[in-house]
Amino acid sequence: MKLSIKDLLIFTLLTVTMELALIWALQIAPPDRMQGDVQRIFYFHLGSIWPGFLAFFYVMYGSARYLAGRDLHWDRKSLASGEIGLVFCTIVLTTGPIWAKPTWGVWWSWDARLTSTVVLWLIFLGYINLRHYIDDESKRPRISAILGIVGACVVPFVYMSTRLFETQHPKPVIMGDEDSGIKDPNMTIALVLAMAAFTLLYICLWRIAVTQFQARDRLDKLKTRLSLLEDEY
Amino acid sequence: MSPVVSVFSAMLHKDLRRELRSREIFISSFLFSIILLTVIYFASTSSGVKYELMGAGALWLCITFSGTIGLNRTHQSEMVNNCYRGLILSPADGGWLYLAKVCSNWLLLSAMEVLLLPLIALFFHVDLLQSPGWLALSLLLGTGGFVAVGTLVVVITANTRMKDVLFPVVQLPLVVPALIAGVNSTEVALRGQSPWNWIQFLLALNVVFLSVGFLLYEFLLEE
Amino acid sequence: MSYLVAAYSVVWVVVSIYIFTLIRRNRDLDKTVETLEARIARLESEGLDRTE
Repeated sequence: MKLSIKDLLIFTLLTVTMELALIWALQIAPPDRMQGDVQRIFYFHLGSIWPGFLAFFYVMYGSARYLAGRDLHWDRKSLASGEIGLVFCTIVLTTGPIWAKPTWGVWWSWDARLTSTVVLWLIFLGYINLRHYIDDESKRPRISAILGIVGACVVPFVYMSTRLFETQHPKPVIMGDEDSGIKDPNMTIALVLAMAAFTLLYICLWRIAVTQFQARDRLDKLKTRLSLLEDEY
Repeated sequence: MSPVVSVFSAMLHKDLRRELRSREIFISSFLFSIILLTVIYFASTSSGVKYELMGAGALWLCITFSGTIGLNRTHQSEMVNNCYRGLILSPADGGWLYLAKVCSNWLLLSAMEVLLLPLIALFFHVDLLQSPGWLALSLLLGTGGFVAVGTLVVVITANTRMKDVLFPVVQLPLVVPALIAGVNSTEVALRGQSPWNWIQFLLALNVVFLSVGFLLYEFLLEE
Repeated sequence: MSYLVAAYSVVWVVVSIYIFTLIRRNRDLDKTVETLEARIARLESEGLDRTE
């Protein structure tokens, strides 16, 4: 696989930002007064949800572009974004309980963010899996694109409804809220770096996945041309 | 009469007439709801949950499952006799077909809810008349949100291999905000208070999804 | 403290799983390339036989 200058640049940027994020999150940012060092999970936990959202809105954008121009490239780009969005959503859903256990005492609570992320995860899964069940290849990108757009439209409503629910039913008192004051500016820097690092990770993984899908498309085309040639003989 | 309006009313009449003639979907969904309510009773009493407080939730569980079954079967009956092809060939814009379908599905599901309400009042000792206006509005808008998304998804999954199994799997996460808002709005209305913030949310949801469906249905109808 | 380590390792595990999926797909693509090359080779030899 040939690596362009752009790929190398992005990868270097990713390495640098990830290093900085790790240093800031694990060393420079002060430990939380109540939670101690465990709070540092927050940087990666929140840092992962941002690319998750980005991925889904890219799915919506890519799906719309596909429906407008019927260019299959946009379908592949949307699919790649969907897969990686699922990866980041999984990270949020796994780091969440790991953080919850020492801070809240329970592995899971139906608080607004976690609940919404579960639904987001399910919508991602539905989007990716739908393709496997559509046998007709000419229909597949169009139908997936429509589901992508509908799913992306649902996501903000999910977050709003769970938030609205929480304002009506206040959570029981727990040991320290998640955003219990980002007091130190170093904490903010750590959070921003973590978000940037994970966004760059998303971009890197996405570029690799898209290149792979396009390679597969080209191979399929070669296969068909080869079959035609073989039939001639 | 413009072609749009005539197609719209023709679609609506067709769906309603079919359902009124056979009533099979209606009856089976209703019976299913009764069984569901019984199961909810046994599930809640043995776990110590206060049964009476579950009225709104139980109602919406019934609506969700009956709605899912109903949407699926209604669409299946469309496929018989190449009825669907006839729809695709109709002169009106796909969006109006979508709205017609949403209307018919919505009317049928609302009719089911009207039948369910006395049962809920009976089983859960709920006073339906505390705020009938808010209750009606909550059910109307919540059902609207449910049906707006469901009508779209049912055509999406109809293009797949395992349509019946896949439909609830794809549809339910997408319907979550409508359900959350519906349940909470109904609950507040049954308590006699004003669920205005939930109603606003439901209004926004309905507007967004009806517009999205209207714009996208045309793409779904391509062969 | 171990929770912190667990969380960070979970992040790497999940990302690695995805990267392994990508690598496996690449291997499948390589296999397809090999079969295509084999078919081309066969076509070329058959072509030569016919012209002779």
